[in-house]
Amino acid sequence: MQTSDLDDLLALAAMHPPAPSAALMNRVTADALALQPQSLTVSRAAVARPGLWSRLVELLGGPAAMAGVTSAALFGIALGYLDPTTVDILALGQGVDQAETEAVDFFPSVDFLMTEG
Amino acid sequence: MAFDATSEISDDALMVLYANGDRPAALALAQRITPRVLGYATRLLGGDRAEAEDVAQETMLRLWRTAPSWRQGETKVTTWAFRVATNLCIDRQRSRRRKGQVALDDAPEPVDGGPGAEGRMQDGQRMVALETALATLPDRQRQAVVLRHLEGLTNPEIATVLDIGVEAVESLTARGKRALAAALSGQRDALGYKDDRDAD
Repeated sequence: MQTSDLDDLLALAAMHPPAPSAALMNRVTADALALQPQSLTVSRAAVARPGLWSRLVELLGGPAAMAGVTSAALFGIALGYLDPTTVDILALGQGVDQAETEAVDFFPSVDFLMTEG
Repeated sequence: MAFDATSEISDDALMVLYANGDRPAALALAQRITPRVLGYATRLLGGDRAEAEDVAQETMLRLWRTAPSWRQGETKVTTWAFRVATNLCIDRQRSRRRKGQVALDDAPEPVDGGPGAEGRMQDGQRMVALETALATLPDRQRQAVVLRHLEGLTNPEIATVLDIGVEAVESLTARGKRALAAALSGQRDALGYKDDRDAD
């Protein structure tokens, strides 16, 4: 066979490749869809904005800071409502009389240095 | 994305779209690659249609599994698919030889088109003769000839598929064509080539 005849024959074969059957295409397509990774979708729940309370807690520095602020606020309210006597007791200690407070002179021997004349 | 819109997209980009969950990309890739792999495998396996379909499906299965890690621009999708199909066909040919089978029984599909029934019959005879002659070639020569002259790959692409150098590809295709011409030498008249030239 001449080269040109062979080239013609190969060109003819190239133009008429074996066609895949419908069954093969169905199997290949089914495999493709079964193995295809799922598309990445962003759900509403994933991007939902935090509530007002959560944002306030975060604004103040988180739950630990919020606990400190709450404790201080409660203590302040308690001080406001308590009887002043009770506050004195809390501030100075029960049974301590201000009149009994002693004055201590740490440098008694240097008074003459402060005298004029 | 609509299926029609995928016709302009490269195979590489379709792989990325497929990996991102795009269904039309899956269908487009299946329709583009499967027929080429099937044609190649059919010719490598001496016209054994059932085995060629198995090879085509397995090749595509590996393609789907590879898609998530596909690197754009490194290798053409068709080159990758032909390489996988080549290895699968080699495995099956070895298996056949171990079993002592010679699978040259399956005739190619009837060829559509042509000037008429007589023309189609002659084209069919030519296809059978070519399949038979191809089956007589050594495996590497057959692979190189089919990839070069029937699948239209370039020599560097064939070198990638067969994992050999470009010079080796040139040598294989040249020797393959000479062997094909020799195998078909006694059939020129029977295949109607003399009549075609006389008509001109």
